[in-house]
Amino acid sequence: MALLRRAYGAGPGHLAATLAGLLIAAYGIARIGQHGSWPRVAVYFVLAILAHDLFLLPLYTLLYAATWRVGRIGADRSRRVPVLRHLVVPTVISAVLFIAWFPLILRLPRFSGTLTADVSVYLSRWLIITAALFLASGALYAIRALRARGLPAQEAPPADGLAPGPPA
Amino acid sequence: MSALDRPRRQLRRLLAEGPGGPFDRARWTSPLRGPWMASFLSIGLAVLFGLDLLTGYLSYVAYQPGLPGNALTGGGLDRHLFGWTWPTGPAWLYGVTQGVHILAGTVAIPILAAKLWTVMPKFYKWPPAKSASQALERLSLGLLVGSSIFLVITGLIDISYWYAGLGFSFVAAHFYAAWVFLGALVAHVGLKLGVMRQAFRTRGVLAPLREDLRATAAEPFDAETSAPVAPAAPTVTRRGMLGMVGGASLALGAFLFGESFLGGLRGTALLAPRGQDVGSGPNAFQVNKTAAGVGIKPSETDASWRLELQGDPHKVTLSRADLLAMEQHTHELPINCVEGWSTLQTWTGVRLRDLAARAGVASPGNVRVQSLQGGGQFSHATLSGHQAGDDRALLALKVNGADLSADHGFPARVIVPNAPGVHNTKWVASMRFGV
Repeated sequence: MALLRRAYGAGPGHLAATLAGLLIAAYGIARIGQHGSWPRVAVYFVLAILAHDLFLLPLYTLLYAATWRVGRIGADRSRRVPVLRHLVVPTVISAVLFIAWFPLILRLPRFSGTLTADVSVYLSRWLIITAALFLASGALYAIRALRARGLPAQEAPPADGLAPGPPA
Repeated sequence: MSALDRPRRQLRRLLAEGPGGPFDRARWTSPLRGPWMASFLSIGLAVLFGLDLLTGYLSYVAYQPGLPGNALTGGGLDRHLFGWTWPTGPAWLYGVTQGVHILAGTVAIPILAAKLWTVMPKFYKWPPAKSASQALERLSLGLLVGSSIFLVITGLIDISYWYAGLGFSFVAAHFYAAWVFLGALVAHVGLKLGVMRQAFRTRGVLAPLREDLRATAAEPFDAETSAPVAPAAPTVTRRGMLGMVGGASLALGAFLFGESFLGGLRGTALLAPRGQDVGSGPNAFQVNKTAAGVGIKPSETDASWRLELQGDPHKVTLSRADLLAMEQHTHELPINCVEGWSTLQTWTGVRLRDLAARAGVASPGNVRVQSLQGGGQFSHATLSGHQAGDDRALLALKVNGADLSADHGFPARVIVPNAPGVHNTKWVASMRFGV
C-alpha cells in the first residue's frame, strides 16, 4: 500500500475510480476511432476546451470587472440602487440565448434543401425578447429606486447587499 | 561563466515558480470560488446530465439498432446493451424522453459555464502534474470538460440544422462522446464525492444562499480546491450569482419547452428550432424532409405508384385504390422527433398486420420498410414484429381526413406509436415481412 502511494501518489480508491472511468471513456474513443472521423472529433474536443479558455475566460473577466464597478458605485450612499446591475442581468440572459441559438438567429447556412421550416422569424423574436428583458429590468429598477428614495440614508437596506464592506 | 547559464537559470526558475499569469493562484481573487460553489453547481449538472445520459440511452434503444439496417453506429458492445425491444406504448413516451433530453441539455449550458468558471483556477496548475495519480486525474478532467462542451455544442448544432463544417456523422460522434463523458464522469464523481460531502458538511447545503453581501466570505484557501489565496471584497452574493445562472437557464428553457407540447403552450417555444408557425389545414404540421428535397419525382407518386409487399413466398402489388378498398383504421398518434419536438395528428390507413396477412404472413415478424427516397440513412427502416403487430401501427393514406400532402409522404407513409419520428417512413415503396 505504501509502495502504491509512493509510486502512484494516491491511494487505491483513487486508482480504482480513475481506471474504471478511463476504461469506459477508452471504449468511446476506440469506437469513434473505428468510425474514421476521429481526427476531426479530437480537434473539436481540443477546440471546445480552447474556445472556453480563450473566449469565455476573458468574457468572465470583463463581467467580473463590470460587477466590481457596480460594487464601487453601490458604495456611494447617494445611489443605493445599483443601476448597472439592472443592465448586466438582461444583457447576460440575452447573450446566453444568442449563444445557444445564433445559427438560427443569424440564419447561418443550414442542412437544407430538405427542410421547409422558415428561420427568418428568430432574429426578430430574439430582439423582442431582449427588449422585454430590458424593459422588465428597467421597471424593476424604477420601483426599487422610488422605494429607496422614501427611506432615510442611514436606514436604507443594503440594496440587495450591494454596499461592499472593506476589502476582505 | 558559460553562455548557457542564464537560460538555464531562467528555465529552473520557470519550472519552480511557474509561468505566472493564470498559473499564479494569487491572481484568481473572486471570493465566490470554492468547494461549496463547485459542489452546489455540480448537483444541478448531475441531475441534468444524468437525465441526458438516461434519455440518450433510451433513444438509442428506440432506434432498435439490433434490427437489420437500423444501426446508425458501429457494432462493438452497443447492441448487447441496447438490444431490448422498444415498446409501442404509451405513444407519447419517446416524445417525453426526447423533450427532456433536449431541454435538460440546453438549460445545463449556463450551469456548466458557471461550474467551469468556478473551478478554472485549477486548470492552470503548475506543474501540471506532480505524480502519476495527478496525471491520470488531469487526463480524466480534460476528457470531462472536452466531452461535455462537445456534447452540448453538437447537440445544439444538430437541432438547429446547422451542419456547416461539422465534418463527421452527428449520431456516431454524439453517441460515443457520451461514452467518453460517462467514463470521465465516473472517475470525477469517484474522486470528488468526498470534497462535496466535506463542503456541505462545513457550510451546509443551502446556508450560503442566505448570506447577504456583508456575510459573503471566501472559503479558506486550499491548493486542492478553487478557493482563492487572496480573496477580493465580494461584489455579489452567492445567491446573486446563482440567481443569474438560474435565470439564464430558465430563459433558455422557457422559450424551448413548448415545442414538446400541443396547443397554446407550443406558442411559447419562441426560440425552439421547430417553433415556427406552420399555418392551418389538415396537412399543416412540421416537415423535416420535403419531397422535392429528397428527390421524389411527381411521376413516381401518381396513379402508377404501386406498393410492393414481399411475403414468404408471396409477392403482392397494390395500388393506392387497392389500399383504400381495404379495411381503414383511424388513430390519433404523435410524430415524436429525436430533435425534441412532437406533433399529434389523426391518421387513417391500413393496419400493418393486415398488409402482412395480405402478403400471406400470419404474424408480421420484423418488417423492412423501403421508401422511394434514393438514399440516405432513413430511406429505410426495420420495424420489429412487436411494432408491426400493434393495432395502431398503420400505413397511413390520409391525415386529418385529407389525403397526405407530398411533403408528408403521399401516396402512403408508416405511422407507428412511440417510434422515433424518422422510423415513420414516408413515400413507402415496398415492405418486406419476416426479415
